[in-house]
Amino acid sequence: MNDPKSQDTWLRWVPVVALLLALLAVAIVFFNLSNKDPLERLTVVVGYVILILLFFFGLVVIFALARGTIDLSLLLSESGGGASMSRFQLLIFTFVIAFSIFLMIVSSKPMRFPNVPAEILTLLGISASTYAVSKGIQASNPGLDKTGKGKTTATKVEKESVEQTTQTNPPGDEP
Amino acid sequence: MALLARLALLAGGAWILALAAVVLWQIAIGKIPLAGLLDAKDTQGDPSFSPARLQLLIFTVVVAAQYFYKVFAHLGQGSLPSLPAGVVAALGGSQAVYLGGKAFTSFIRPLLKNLE
Repeated sequence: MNDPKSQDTWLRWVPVVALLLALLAVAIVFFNLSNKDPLERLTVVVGYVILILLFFFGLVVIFALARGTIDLSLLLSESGGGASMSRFQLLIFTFVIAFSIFLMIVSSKPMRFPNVPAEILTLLGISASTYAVSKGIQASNPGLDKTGKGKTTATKVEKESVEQTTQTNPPGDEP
Repeated sequence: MALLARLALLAGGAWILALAAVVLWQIAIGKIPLAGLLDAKDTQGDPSFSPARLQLLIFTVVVAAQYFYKVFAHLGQGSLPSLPAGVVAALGGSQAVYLGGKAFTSFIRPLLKNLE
């Protein structure tokens, strides 16, 4: 299932389908809007083409996420291991606001982008700031890194460089 | 043009839904781990239960659920429902407690240990 070759075969068809859909859109515009002026027809065609392109970009990204080609395993992780509460909160709020905006657009007649109150922007701002400050606290205190990988690597490099220096200049050879 | 707008909305909505479904599915099967969500680490890296994280989780879920409910009650009004200033302030306070706890664990506790 995770064979990269089979994924490539599947992905090869995406541009072909996108092209066919774009041609279909051009045909629809040509037959349906034949009485409009050329600039308006061009606007609609460009709109369809951009929509088709974005849709397939999105589709490829979603499939890559679902198959694990784009790794999401560290989406909610802190640098020292374990899940991050601030990331989790930002994720929840982002999805809630995104769904809310979508529902508002669908339910309004005529459809239009809803006004976003200042309180909602404040809410998202607070959440994002918490994430940033939390990251700052972590970065300023490397001791929180449970794995200690950074330290171990640094110590290894230091040790290796000391060993190399000793081999090139043995203690007895000093002038 | 109306058909284009409808298709764009449909595609956008489907994409957001699919993204949420993928993320939720990966959380459910453990590919995105939630282990340690309620644990704070001390300076030695040892995890322990953190009440500050628990209260933040509760506030987050409650505010998100309340807001979603409000959205369903306000459908078709052309504007997202606003949150009461008190709720925003409470959430801000909750975040402050969480960050305060994290800062305490990171900076103040080691200082106190050194003083002992």
